Amino acid sequence: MEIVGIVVRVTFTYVFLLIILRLAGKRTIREGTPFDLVVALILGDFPDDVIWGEVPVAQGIVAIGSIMTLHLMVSYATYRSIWFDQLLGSAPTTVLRDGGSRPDALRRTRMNEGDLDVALRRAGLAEREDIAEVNVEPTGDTSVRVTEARRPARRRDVEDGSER
Amino acid sequence: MDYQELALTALRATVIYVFLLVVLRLLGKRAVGDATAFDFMVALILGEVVDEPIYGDVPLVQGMLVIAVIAAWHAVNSYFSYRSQRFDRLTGGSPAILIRNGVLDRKVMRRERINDEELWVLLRLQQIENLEDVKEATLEPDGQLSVIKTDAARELTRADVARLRGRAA
Repeated sequence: MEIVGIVVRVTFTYVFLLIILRLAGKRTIREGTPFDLVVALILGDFPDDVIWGEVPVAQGIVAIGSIMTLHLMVSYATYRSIWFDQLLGSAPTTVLRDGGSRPDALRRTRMNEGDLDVALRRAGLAEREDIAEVNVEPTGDTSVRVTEARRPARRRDVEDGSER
Repeated sequence: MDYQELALTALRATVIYVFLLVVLRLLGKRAVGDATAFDFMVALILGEVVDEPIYGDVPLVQGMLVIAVIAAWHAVNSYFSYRSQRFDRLTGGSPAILIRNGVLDRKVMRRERINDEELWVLLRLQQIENLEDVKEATLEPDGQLSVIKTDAARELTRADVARLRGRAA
């Protein structure tokens, strides 16, 4: 009976993926780099062939297991070695410093002035002179650091002379 | 299903994995991901094409060719978007200003198909409760709303405090 087969295979792949992802740890897949996203999509793409019975279950397990093992090895290697981490592009690129954009860094990250404006607006900022630094992080996101003067006031900025 | 086929599956998975790692590294960190809807589509496509070559339904070389061609076109696309603002706007969409100095721009809202209800959802997510507090609200190409508050509504900065204390003294 095919229905029973489908139910069994769906259940099996679901549980298998659950275990694999649990073993992989929190940040292996959801670390947020473009490559992590693609790996997550690859892993999500294997089970359907197994579920429809187009591919033997054993082969599905090997395929999922191989990709997961490789990804674990790479994430372990980037954890151990800064050099390898940077080789894979895990260093931030500073595209703006002290209010001035850096054309070189912009070109390397394929970011134009319009994209930079989007990043600033996203941070709720309109004036470039308020910005100390904008970094393109390994995740592809931009982080904006404002100047000392533009930072939110703290209690100790108001409380007279109290240093705490 | 013999063990040789399983070993080949593992081997093909390894080749594709390393190949994708190199290709995405060459594309750069902003090329693929969820910055725009299309970048996300490219990630989906890349993730979707690899199962056939790994399972052996399609020759490995063919799988690698598909990945390379998609990546090449995406590289060309992101290079032109970087070089030309016009091309960028054509392919990625342009930012649209929905609120200016606390006033809704109905024409832009209609064009972007954003009604009051949806706009308020986006504003509430940013703790905005009064339109008067908004100097400029922009719907960005990735569908997110960025809000620039008026000087009176923005949070107190260290410079503000220094100025106020100077006046008090």
